[in-house]
Amino acid sequence: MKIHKLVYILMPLALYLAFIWAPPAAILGEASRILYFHVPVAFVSVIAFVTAGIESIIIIIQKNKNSLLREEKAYNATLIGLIFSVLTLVTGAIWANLNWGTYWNWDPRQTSIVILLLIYIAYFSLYSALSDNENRGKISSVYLILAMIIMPVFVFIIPRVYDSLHPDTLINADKKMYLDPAMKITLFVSTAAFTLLYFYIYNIMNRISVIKIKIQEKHHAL
Amino acid sequence: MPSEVMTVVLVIWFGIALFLYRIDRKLKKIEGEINEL
Repeated sequence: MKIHKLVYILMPLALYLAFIWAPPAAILGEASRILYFHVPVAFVSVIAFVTAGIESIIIIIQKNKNSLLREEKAYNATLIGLIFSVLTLVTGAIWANLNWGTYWNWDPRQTSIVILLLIYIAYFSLYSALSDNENRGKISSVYLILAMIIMPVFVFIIPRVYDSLHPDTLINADKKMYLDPAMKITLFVSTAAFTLLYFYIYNIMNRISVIKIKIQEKHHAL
Repeated sequence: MPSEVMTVVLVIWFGIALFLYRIDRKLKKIEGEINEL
C-alpha cells in the first residue's frame, strides 16, 4: 500500500480531532476550529507551488531530454496549488466574517494571497496561449521558477511587514507555538492528512498525464 | 454544533474519498490495458 492512501484513515481522524477532541480557543470560541483546515490547506498550497518550481528547474537543467511528462507534472502541481490557495482564501474569509464582521476588508494577508493567485492564474493563460509553441515547456517553466521565487514574499514577508488584523502566525517572532497540546496535536494530524491528500491527488493526476502521453505516442506511431 | 458541522464535513469527505478510490481503480485498469498493447 502506498503511504498516501493512509489519507482514508487520517482524514476522518483529523475531522474527529478538529471538531470533537480539541478544545475551542479561549477568546475565539468554536470559530477557532477553522484553524485546523485553514493552516493545512495554506501549507499544502505552498508545497504544491514549490513542487511545480522544482519540476520546472529540472526541465530547464535537462536541456535535451523530453520534458513533456515533467511539464505535465509542473502543471498538475500548480493546478492543485491554485485550488488549495482558493480554499485558503475561502476558509480565511469565513473566519474573517465570524471575527471581523466582514468577509473581505483588504487586509495585507488577504490582498497578498489574491496577488499570488493572480500570478498563478496567469501561468495557465501563458501555458494555454503557447499550445502551438515548441518552447512552451521551457517558457512556462521559467515563469513557474520566477513565481516560486516571488511566492515567499507574498506568503511570508508582506503580511509581516504591514500591520494586519490576521492573528499572529503559528510560529511567531518568539519562534514558539502558543497552542494547547491537544490543539497542537490536532493541527499536526490535520496537516499530515491534507499533505497526504495532496500527494494522492498529485499521484492520480500524474498517472492520468502518463496515460495521456502514452496514448499520444501510440497515436503518432500509427 | 461542532458535531453537526463534523457530520456535514464527514459526508463531503466520504464523497471525495469514494471519487478518488474509483478513479484510482479505473486508472489501474487502464494502465494494465495500455501496458498490454
